[in-house]
Amino acid sequence: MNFVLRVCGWLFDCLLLLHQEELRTRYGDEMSIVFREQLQEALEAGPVAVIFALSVAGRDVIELAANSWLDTARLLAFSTCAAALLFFGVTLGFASFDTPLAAYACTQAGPTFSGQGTPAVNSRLVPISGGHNMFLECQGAVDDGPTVILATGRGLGSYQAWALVQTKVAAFARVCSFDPLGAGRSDPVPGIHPVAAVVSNMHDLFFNAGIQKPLVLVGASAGGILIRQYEERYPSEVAGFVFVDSAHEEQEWRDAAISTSFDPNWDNLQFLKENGFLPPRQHLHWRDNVPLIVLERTDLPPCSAFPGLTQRQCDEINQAWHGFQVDLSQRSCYGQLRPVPGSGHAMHQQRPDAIAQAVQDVVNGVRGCY
Amino acid sequence: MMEFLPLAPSQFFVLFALAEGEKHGYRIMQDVRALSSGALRIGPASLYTTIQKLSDEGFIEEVSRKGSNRRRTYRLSGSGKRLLDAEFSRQHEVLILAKRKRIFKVGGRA
Repeated sequence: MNFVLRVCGWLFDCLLLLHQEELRTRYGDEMSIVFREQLQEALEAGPVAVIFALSVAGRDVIELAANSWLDTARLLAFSTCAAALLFFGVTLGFASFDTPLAAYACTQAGPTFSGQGTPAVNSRLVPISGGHNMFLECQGAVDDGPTVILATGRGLGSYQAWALVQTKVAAFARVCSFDPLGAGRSDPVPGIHPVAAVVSNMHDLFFNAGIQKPLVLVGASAGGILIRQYEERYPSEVAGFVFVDSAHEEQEWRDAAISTSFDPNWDNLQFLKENGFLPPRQHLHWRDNVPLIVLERTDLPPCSAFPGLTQRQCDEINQAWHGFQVDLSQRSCYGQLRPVPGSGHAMHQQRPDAIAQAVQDVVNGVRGCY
Repeated sequence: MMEFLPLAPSQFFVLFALAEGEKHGYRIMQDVRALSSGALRIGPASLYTTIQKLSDEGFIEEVSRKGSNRRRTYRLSGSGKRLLDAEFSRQHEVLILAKRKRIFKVGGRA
């Protein structure tokens, strides 16, 4: 029995290598433990249960790793074609390596395709007030341009949610993301973290870490409210915004006017304050004439998934969400609204390229101003 | 919260399992199976992919590890509780609709 356990455990550890590196480094140990516990139980239940446990683990590999295999296959095919073209080009005399121009073009093109040119990642714990530490990860060359901040704390939970966007942005700007208190590698501080507290922590973090100003703030979902309120407290630090399918301060009462079925807290003033929403019937009066891009999802779940709402209410809620995006985009005279095809609310995973493009456009706008 | 709904089955059942209190990975896996009456069986890799996604989005949090125990435990965050509530009320509405249309009889199967 012990032998079976060891062999199966070894097999599982081999299968683990096929999964994404990030998943492995974060949870690899635990996945092995869980699998061994599962196997131990299965051994007591009999051989069928063992085969079943193995087959579930195998199915995971196919479902989760298929995408990256496809990518690997594509990459292999691409590099084979490129090598073949070069080989035949050189042998037939269409291309040569001895002109400096060709050599220069190769070194220039290299990093864009392979990503090897991305500067090293710099991650560390930074002490902030109250005796706490926050985890910060920065990437990309330091220049005289703005620093891009991918905000979390209200909205996405941990800096890792931004990973796909961060590597793309690092190619053209200094970019930082962080874990808010109570999440990821920052100090575990339990309880509710109101928007105002998260804003103060962010400011402490950026100051103590010596992050170069001005900042371009990027916020997704509820993170949109967070970055807007950061600007309100520290207006001189912020030079541009990217709102990623952002929430809106008037959202709770405007949605409740259509249907109260989704948020029973819509008139709970303390809840509204903690989450940065405005009390019923109050309007947002903010304006900031800086480069600003609002990215809006285009994929919506069907109204049939929400039978608590009539078709009309569902359309009105969707229309209201669109209205919030339009409104945000008009808060700056340089504001732009961009609907993003092929993306739902989880745009940071579905279309990181569209977010990176918007960041680049805002950064270019800011560079033009300073 | 409507923008996050409907939840994928694995996300829903992991949140559901954690609604009862803090749990470690293996316990979550067993409870997902029990809560879905055996319909949803996920392996360790699917489980941790879901956990990774939910914690990156701030819906669940890791409870700080005490002592030398390598096993981490997880719990719902405030927004995770609200998300699960929103999904339950959505499902409740689906059920009411099915009953009203007499597709699903009260207390029985269709």
